Amino acid sequence: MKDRVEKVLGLLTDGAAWLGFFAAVRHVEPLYAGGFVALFLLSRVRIKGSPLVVPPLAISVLAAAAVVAAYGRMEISSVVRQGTEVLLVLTALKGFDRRTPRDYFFIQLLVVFTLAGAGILSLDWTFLPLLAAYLIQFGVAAVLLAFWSEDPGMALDRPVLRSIVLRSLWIPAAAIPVAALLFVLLPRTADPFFDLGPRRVSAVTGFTDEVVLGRVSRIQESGAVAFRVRMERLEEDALYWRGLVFDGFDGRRWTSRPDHGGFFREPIRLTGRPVAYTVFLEPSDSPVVFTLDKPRSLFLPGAWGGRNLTFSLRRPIARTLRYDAGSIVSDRLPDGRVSPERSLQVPAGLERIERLAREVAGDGGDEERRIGALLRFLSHGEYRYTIRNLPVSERPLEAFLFEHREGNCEYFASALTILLRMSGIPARMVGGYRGGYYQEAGGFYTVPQQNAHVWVEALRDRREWVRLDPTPASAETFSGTEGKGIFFRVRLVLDVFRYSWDVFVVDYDLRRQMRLFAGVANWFRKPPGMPGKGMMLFLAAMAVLAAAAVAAGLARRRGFLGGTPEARVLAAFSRRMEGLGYPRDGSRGLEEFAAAVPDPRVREEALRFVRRFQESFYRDRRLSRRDVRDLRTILEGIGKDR
Amino acid sequence: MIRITGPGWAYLIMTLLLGLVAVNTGNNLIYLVESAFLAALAVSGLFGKRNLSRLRVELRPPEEIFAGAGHPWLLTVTNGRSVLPAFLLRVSWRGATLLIPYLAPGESTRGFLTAVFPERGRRERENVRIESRYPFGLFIRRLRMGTGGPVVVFPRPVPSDFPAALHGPPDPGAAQTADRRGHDPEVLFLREYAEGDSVRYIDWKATARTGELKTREMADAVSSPLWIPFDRVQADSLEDRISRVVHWILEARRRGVPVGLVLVGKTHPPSLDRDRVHEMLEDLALLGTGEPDPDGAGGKQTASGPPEDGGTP
Repeated sequence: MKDRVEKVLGLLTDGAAWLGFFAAVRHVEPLYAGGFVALFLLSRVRIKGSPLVVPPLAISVLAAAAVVAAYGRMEISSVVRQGTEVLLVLTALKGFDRRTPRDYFFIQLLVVFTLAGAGILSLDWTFLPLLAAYLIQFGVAAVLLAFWSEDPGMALDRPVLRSIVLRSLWIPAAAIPVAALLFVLLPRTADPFFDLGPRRVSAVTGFTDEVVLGRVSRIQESGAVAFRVRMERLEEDALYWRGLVFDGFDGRRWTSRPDHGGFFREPIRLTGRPVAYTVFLEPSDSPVVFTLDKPRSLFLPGAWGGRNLTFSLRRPIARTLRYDAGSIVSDRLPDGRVSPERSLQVPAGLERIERLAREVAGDGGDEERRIGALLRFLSHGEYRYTIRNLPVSERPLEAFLFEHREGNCEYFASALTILLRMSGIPARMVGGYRGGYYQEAGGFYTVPQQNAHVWVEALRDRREWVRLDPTPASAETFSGTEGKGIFFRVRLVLDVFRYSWDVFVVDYDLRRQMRLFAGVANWFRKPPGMPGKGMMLFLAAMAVLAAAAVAAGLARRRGFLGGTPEARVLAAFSRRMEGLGYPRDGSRGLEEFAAAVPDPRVREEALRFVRRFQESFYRDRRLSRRDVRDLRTILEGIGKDR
Repeated sequence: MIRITGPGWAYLIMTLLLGLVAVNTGNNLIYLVESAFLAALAVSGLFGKRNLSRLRVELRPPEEIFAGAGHPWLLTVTNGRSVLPAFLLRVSWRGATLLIPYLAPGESTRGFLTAVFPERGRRERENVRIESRYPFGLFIRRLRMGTGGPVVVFPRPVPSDFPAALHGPPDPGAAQTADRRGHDPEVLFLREYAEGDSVRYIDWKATARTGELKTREMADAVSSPLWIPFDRVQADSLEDRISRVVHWILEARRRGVPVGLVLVGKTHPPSLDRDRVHEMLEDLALLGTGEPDPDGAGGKQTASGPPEDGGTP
């Protein structure tokens, strides 16, 4: 009945509205998100079985108010967000006035635009399942709407409705691969005319542009991804991701000076193993760009860097950033031009620490020995690594060195830097990330926020900076999944999808499109001789599928599979008779054929079958299970005693 | 043929807008939405085309079709596909439509389409139009299917009194070949008074009403069949004459009186046989249309043709 169609449509349309909501909710003001939920729930309120009647005028006024409230703020930069907010409210409002197929179709369109708005505001991979879910429900809803608009009073019984819904699912199923192909083929432009990308910046709990000691007692571990790096697997010791150099310290706070220019003008001679890689940096409120310690090249328009080998953009990173870079895996950085004053600066009032430095490193003597002594003192002494019970104090370094003796990397690195400086060795802190989780499936490292790290660089012989990491945390802390909890591990697995999303979807542009087309053209010009392992598997899978399809087609043709029960049982009869030497000519009627069988016993049985078949079939009813069973029994008896 | 519906236009405009936004922002998520909607459009087109493939339509005419009257034609639609059902078929023909929401693979459904042919004669059946807005209702896909050769539309019967002059057998030979049925002593019809009619059979009520003498033709009086000499029927026009004659033929048949028809160059002996009566009606249907009748006789007869005398009483 019509009611049934409307009920299914109502459910689907509600589902669509919520899909739009989930896609947009993270990017709109809470007022609008709350407004959507409230209006949606109100529109579903039934009083004695009847929906709440809201005068059309009230709906129009509310809609106009939503538009005015959203655009009244006149923020050109957030025009998409405001549009999405309005769309959300309109979708919920339309829920009050949902009577004709046109109303339902209109809601579907509103949701499409909401999804598009959310797509502009976010580049998150969660968009994909939401879009797929939307497409699937749209496939069914649009079909039901077509039925409804064709004849509002149409009666559809439950099996027919089920068949319609199930068949409708084939459309999105077929559309999804076509959509994937179209996504690749649709024309891209070199430079988009409008850049309506996200400007909202996610809070980063890991890496910060400044290091402040003694302020918090506990650091919340964040499994959120800082960046991903497509590269070969490296040994753990090599995985230091360089971000920022801190060299100013006031007793609590480390500051960084801009590393202005110079990098691209005067390349620094580095020796070691070269590594090329691609970074996918997640949005953050910092403009810092990370590279593998020590970077040699960086291909990122707008980035600037200097002799500290650190790089930044001029603005915080608003959307996933992709860049290629090359590094030399080395813990040394030659620097003969550095003026050591700033790297020797020590705040006043740290006499106790100064005494400690003298105790541990001694006065004068071999620089190498002093560095070794101080490093051992911190990393192999009585100090423990923790992120929980951090010293909260006005004099955090002293609290760490003499009382708590527990701290995170910031305390260890700060202490070593200051101790080195007090021993007359220029030193500085480097902020970035340590380690990462190598994803064999994608050939990339996932570096989460919780891997944010600081280490020390000491200027040895006033010639080169040497990396020192006093933090006694094991490599496991930064690369192992032991003790990290199931969520973290699931997150890592999911990260393969997110990475693929970034690489294949978000990052797909004109350059890659052209490269792909050229690759395909090349392939046709000069197909590779032997396909690779992956291709072989793919071809084998395709061959199996094709064989299965052919087998199913043959089985269907022979009546083993598919079709109506009548067709199947008739096909079985024909096969049986053919087996007995009486092939049935399609032009002859069943009875005529059976009556013409020369063998009287076979004829009798065949006629029995035919009569039993006709008895059911020609009364215009489908064969029941019992009919089919009876017919099969008769069938088995035909020619049995021959 | 494809027609775009209102929702179809909305969908196309939306897809176009999304495409513009995608190109202008370079946002790949919009490209994804755009791709999804273009793909849905393409796939739905394919499903829509498939939905109308391998359908068979049979349109069986009623036994008799009279001009100007609505007659139900038996429509059978068969889904010749072995797997895919057919959805939402609207079959239209000569202004009548039948909606078939669902047709399982390999199955047939039946319904009646009532059609009116305004003019008599041999008429082409016209193609049946099948259309469907399946799957998304964005487009209406149409196709036309032939349903067989032409049909003969019998002339429209117009009730009128039976002329007295036409009563009685034209010749004894013809009378002998006639079927004889219907000997109930009941009133067959009223006709104009003719000399020699028994006063007993005059219908005084009808006479008073019309101002002319009317005689009741009694069934038992019609021991002989009814002969209708076409040329001697008085009427304003050829159409009028044909219509009157058709009415008399039908009326006689209804009463069970064998009826014979004399046309120029062709005589139909009195009969109650269905096929014989149809032959008479068919000849009348084709009269003056310039088309030869199946037997070739009387085909050249036109409304202005000179009446001939042969075979009339």
